[in-house]
Amino acid sequence: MSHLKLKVNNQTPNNAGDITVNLSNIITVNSPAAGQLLQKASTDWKTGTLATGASGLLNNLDVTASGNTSYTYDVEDNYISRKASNEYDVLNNISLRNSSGSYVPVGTTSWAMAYRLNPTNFPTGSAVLFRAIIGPTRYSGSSLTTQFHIGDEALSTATPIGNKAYSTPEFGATAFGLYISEGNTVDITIKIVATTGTKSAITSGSVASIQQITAKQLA
Amino acid sequence: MSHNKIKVGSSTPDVNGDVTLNLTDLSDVSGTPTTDQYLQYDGSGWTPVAASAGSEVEYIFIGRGESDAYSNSPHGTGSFSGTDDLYVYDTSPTNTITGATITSSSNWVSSITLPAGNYVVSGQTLLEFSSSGYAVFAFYDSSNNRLSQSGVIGTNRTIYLGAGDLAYSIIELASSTTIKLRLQATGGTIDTGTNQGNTPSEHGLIVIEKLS
Repeated sequence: MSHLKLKVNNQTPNNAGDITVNLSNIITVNSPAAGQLLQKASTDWKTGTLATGASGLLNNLDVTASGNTSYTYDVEDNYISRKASNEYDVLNNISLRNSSGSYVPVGTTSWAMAYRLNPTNFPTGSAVLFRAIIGPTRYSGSSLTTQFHIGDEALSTATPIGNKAYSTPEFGATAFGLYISEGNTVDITIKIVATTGTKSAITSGSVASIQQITAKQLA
Repeated sequence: MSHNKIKVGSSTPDVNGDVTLNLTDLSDVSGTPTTDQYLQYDGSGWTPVAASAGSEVEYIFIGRGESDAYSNSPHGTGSFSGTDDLYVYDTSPTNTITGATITSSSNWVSSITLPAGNYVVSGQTLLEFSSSGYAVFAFYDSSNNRLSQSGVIGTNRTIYLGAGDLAYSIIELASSTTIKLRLQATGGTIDTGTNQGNTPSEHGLIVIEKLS
């Protein structure tokens, strides 16, 4: 009978006239393992795996910043951290902006005041989670409140992207910031949004080791 | 001829009766994949999607430092007990966790319902005290079982000296669970809801990252 001559992807019918076609009769898949996905290759298909972890973008590991306590923070300043001796031991796809301008305790190329993200590395829709516990030089009775912002100028021109974190010489709150890219180059800062008591100074000596500044990519 | 009446998927036999079937001829595959795309099942069929390693973390972010009086929250104007629920303010919370829902009233988030899975949870608040005092808080389920380690704010912390300000833990949920921030213990006197002003709204935070 004519239907017995039929082949589907080189598969012939059985005696009942049924043709069984598997995925491997349609595309080439080389030894896939459980949990793998089908990923398009240039001419055929291959198996792939999607990692579910977040990518580390930024990590500050500064144990002995050579600061100078005469440089103090005012409201609207950008929190600065030393960078000249590779204190940022993880730095992927983000560049550090030198401390400069009117909103820093001191202008210096050895310290960073902002984290620059560009649309090439972070296209529209990318999501980055920033997290910081600051470690300035503090004085009894003082407090600092910090908040992640987009923008390194006056607070009136910057956009908050997370909670305010209130800290004292005894207790340190955590500031989080969520940046979702709209396809622009941005500078992410840790802004001083409130301060009381004797002015806190830039971190100095081993107090730098309690400072935690990280960023990871969520999407 | 009879073979010309046969169609397999969207493919018809050639003059020799052979049918060459491609993936895109299948009824449950839509679209044409390009290099490095994946096939993703969408519940009824397969579609090509772009995805890359590191892009698969689903998360919730609540708390951007916005200002609103705590008396507008479900807590209201009254005093605090030692085990009150805590509320976090956000006019536009971000939620990318499939199946998760955020419950809020007037932009004050009271709870989050998460599907089964493993999560890292981070929570923080700040309260005003009429005198020295402290507040211990953590994540709880809707039956008021504590799910996370605790954060502490305030002064004269007695047994809680040295604690961090962040409630932080990995939680493993075997089934859909509603979680919330809640006071665990207090000392001294927390100001009334009226006297909290904007402090909790500007400092409150919940971040949830799905691990699996």
